[in-house]
Amino acid sequence: MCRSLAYEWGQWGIRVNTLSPGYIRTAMTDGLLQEKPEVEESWMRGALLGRLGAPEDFKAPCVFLLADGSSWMTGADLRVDGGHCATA
Amino acid sequence: MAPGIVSDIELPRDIPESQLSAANVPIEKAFGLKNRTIIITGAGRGLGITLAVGVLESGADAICLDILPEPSAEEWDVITKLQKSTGVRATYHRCDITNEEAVEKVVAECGEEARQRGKPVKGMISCAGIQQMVDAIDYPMDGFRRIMEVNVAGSFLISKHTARLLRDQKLGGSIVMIASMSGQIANRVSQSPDYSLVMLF
Repeated sequence: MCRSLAYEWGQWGIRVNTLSPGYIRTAMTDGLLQEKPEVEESWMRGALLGRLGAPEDFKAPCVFLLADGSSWMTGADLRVDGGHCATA
Repeated sequence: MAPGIVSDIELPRDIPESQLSAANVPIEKAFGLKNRTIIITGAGRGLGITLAVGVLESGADAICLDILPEPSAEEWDVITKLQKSTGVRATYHRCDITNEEAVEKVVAECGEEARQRGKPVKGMISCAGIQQMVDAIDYPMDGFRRIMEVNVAGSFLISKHTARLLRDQKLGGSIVMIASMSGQIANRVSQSPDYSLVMLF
C-alpha cells in the first residue's frame, strides 16, 4: 500500500513512507509478558541491544520522516527494531 | 589519476536538484517541523500520543485523532504543559477512522483551520491500529475482518483524505504509516498471518 500510494502521489510532492517497529513494551505487551514469561525470552533472543523497544524510540525516526530532511525519501520503510530483523 | 578513472566525489558546478530539494537547509531546520501542522491518528494513548509529543517538541502543531472520547489524562498532561511552555497548539478530536464521512469532515475542518493560522497541514502519522493474540488456525473471520477494517481500511482512509488536502494545498507533504517489522518476518507471539499481512502495507 505504501509503495503504491507513493507512486501515485509523488506528482503532488506527497511522500509516503512506513516506520516498522520491533517488539515494544506497551500496556498490551506488558500484560502479555507477565502472563507468559517465555515470550520475553523468545523476544530477547533477537534483541541485539539487549532490551525491548520503548515508545520514545520512535519519536525521532518519525519526526525525521515528516521533516524536510527526508525530502528525497518516499516509498521506503524505516525499520526500528533493536536489530531484531538483522538476525531473523 | 590513471586515464579513464574519474573522481566519484567531485561535484558539478551547478546542481539544479539542490535548488529543488527542501532538504537543502541547515540541519537544525531539516530535522524540525516548525510552521506546520501534523495530523496523528491513534493519538489518544500509547505510541500515538508519544509521537504527538515528538511532533509538538519539533515545533509543529498537532491534530490528535482517536476513537476514545477523551485522551488518556496522564499522557495528555504532558501535551498541555508543552503547549504552555512552547506555544505550540494541540487539539483532540474523537474520530472513528473507519468512518469515511467522519474522516473527511475532520481532515477538511482541521486543515482549513490550520491554513488560516498560517500553519498548514504538511504531514500525517497513521498510528491507529489494533491487534489480536489468536493463533491463525483458530482465528474467527469476524476478528480477521475487524483487523483489516481498522488497520488497512482505516489507514487508507486517513491517507486518502490527507493526500487530497495536501494535493489541493500544493505545498507537498509527508505521510508516515506505522507498520511493523512483522511485515517482513514472523511475529514470535501472535502466529496470526493477518497481523503480518496487515502490517506489510
